[in-house]
Amino acid sequence: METFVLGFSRVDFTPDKPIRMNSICTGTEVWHKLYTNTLYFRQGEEGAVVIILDVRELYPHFIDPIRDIIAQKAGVKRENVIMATTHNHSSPDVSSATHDESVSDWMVRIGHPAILQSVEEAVADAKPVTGMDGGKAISDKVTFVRRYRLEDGTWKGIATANTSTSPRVAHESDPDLEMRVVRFTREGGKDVILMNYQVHAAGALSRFRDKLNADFCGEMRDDVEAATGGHAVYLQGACGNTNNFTSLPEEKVTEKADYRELGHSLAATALKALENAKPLALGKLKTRFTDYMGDVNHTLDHLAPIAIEIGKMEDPEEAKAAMAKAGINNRYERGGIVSRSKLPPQLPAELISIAIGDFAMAFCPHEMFDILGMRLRAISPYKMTFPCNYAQYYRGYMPAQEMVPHGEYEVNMCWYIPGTGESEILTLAKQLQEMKKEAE
Amino acid sequence: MSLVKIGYCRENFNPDKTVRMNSSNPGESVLEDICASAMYLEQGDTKILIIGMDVRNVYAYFAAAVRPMIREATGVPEENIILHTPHNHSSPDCSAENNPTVIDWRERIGYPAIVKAAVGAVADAKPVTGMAGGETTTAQVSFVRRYQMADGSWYSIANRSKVEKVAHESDADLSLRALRITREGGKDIIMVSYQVHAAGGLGEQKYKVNADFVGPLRDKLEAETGGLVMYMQGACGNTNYSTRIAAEKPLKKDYYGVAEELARASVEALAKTEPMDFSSLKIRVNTLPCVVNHTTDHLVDKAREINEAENDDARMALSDKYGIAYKYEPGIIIRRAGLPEIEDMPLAAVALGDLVMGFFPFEMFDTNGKQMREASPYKMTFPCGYSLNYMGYMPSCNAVPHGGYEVFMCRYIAGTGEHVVLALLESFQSMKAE
Repeated sequence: METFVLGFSRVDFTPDKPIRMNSICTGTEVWHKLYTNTLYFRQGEEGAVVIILDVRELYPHFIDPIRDIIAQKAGVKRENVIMATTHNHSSPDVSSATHDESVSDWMVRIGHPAILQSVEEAVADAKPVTGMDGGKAISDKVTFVRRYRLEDGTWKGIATANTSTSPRVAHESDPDLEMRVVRFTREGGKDVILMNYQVHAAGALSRFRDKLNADFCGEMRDDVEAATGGHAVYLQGACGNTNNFTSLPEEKVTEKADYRELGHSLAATALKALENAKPLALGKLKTRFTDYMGDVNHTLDHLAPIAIEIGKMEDPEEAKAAMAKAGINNRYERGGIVSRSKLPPQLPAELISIAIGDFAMAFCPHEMFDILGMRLRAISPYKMTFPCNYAQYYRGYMPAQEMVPHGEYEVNMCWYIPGTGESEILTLAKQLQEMKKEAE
Repeated sequence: MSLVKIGYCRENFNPDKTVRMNSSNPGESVLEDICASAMYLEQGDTKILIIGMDVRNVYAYFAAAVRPMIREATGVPEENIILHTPHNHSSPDCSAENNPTVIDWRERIGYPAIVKAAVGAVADAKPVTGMAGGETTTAQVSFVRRYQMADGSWYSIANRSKVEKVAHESDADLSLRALRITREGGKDIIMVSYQVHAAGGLGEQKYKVNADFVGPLRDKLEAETGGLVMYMQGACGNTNYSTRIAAEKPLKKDYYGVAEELARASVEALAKTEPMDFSSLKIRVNTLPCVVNHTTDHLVDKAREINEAENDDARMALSDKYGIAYKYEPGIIIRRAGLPEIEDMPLAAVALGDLVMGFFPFEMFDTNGKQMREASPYKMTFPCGYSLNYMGYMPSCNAVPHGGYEVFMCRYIAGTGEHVVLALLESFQSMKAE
């Protein structure tokens, strides 16, 4: 079997000027640098590049100008160039690069060049992998499901639950607290440590909203690297329905608790997972790509004209009354109706899997509910599976179908018909099975 | 590890008197035998019975009555007794729980025959010496019975529509899987898994009891192979075979034609077989909470009004007025409204070496059946519908926006089919990893 090599590079792409952030604040102060973390996988003809960026999500205007160049630089198929994010809100608002000069300037002058540099460096850093091990650990309860059943029998997302007079009775489900870590040892190079967990970054919603930083991922990487001497990369999992405690002062926490504490706590969990690590077999490098055609949910298009009119209303009370009359529950639902009505009947979502030996990563472009990530892991034929979200063109929230009747923010904001998340998980599972069988 | 033993027995349960059939017509004569086919699998303390019954569906009351009888007669635990049907419409209407003719048939003939088949299968148990399976594609005997029309609308069957059909909703899943199990001192057992709706109850045989295509398929295949045949119905909630639409095929091509093609394809699949592992026997039985669709509950009064109208014309007019599909939708609206928020769905998975069978209690669309096979960790996977209980149609999520018969007849929210497939795959993976 041909040698499997892995390369790594991290390049700073922190803005050097004030910039529009995801919080819509202008970020002027840097608390933690932002990076592009690039992994280069190669075994004979098969190769892939995985680039993890400390931003919130990615869009065609960000990916398209550089994807082919990356493919060429790394000598991999275009479909094997995977860009994903940690869902870091405390970063430049990539979505606004089409119309905000501060962001487009950063993207062209700093963001894209940093990514291309990191790809070149990762390719140059490629070293034979001599071993792989992986472990799991349960985190301290730093994450929670941010959807609730209230005493009056209704279901609420976090925003509306906070303003509701009815007390919360229960979370919608228990959070997935499992962290997974895989370590590659390389001949003549540092170890590369991949970490996969599922918790929403939350800086943009907290008191750090105007400070540029990598949210908990920065501290987590720093801690793990300091403790192990390796390169650490965080791949964000299915966290569409979770928050961390720093984003909800009512539920916890002390004033000093912030994303940095979360990062330290998760780093400790990652190190615990490494202590539990067992050898994983190396084998053939495999990749799979599916352009999944998902059906957009157009069932509320008939409300779009009134929803658009309500959006133009300046008086909040007038808008509230108009929404009530139209049967639209809140502004999120109104926004979802308008945005979906502008979408085509179907919208593709890139689903990509990479596997080596006993280990697989499955990428999707959504904010999936954690239950879906757990289900993918449960049906995966691999000893260690990372569900990786926020990859390629962002395609929004993806609730588990049994949560859809509860409605609320994540459900209202989802573009696709119920069941699409499950169907995508089945497509990824098919990819995993095919790769596994092919490698045997 | 101890040897795997398998036994097989088939018993007729033809009615001997006029019985209400699924077509609601009286079944006055028997055109071909209907049977209970039992397959017994044993390894050490693990004992499993799979019983295929030539009726339309398994119902909870039916299973609750017959499983204790089988347990008592065979010693197989009730949870390991899996009742399955090929969805044969040309049979006694087991949904008519209180119909005197059906009660008489099942008490006097049906239940005893099922128990007898189970006992016979246990007595026939012989060590398995080999297993080999193959897959092939049939001719276009099956088609997806849901259409996009020239005006952009979607219809199920669509025979009554004046608008031209443009396309089927999806391509039919024409994959057929066949497996031969060889036994020491006994006949081979041939298992066939396919997905096509039986339909005789709506055709010219509607007054005659028969086993639809499954009867002649068994006969032909047993003659060709010398084995004993067990047909496992797959995910066929959205398919019909070509005898169903007169406009597409002449009616004289009836279920015999389907049986002939499925027998041919089975022989072809058996010729392509590769040896498979048969050294372990495992079972997982569980229930999956599924969310009932209550979004039409506000239409219950209107649905009742339609049902209570004095004649068909009035019912049709009210259906048009309220936007509720004529005939079947009012009933399901009323029924769903009476259901709890969540229903527990029984599921079962049985693995024999490289083969796994996933049993579920509804009419799954073939899209989901294919997804189950493609994401399965086993070499060969049989999705087995119409098993354990009957909980209605189950469209794949991509079909839900198109509406139509199978969609409005479904009790559950969109995506439940995929939810069930994931749950079965979890059982598959846990057995595989064990």
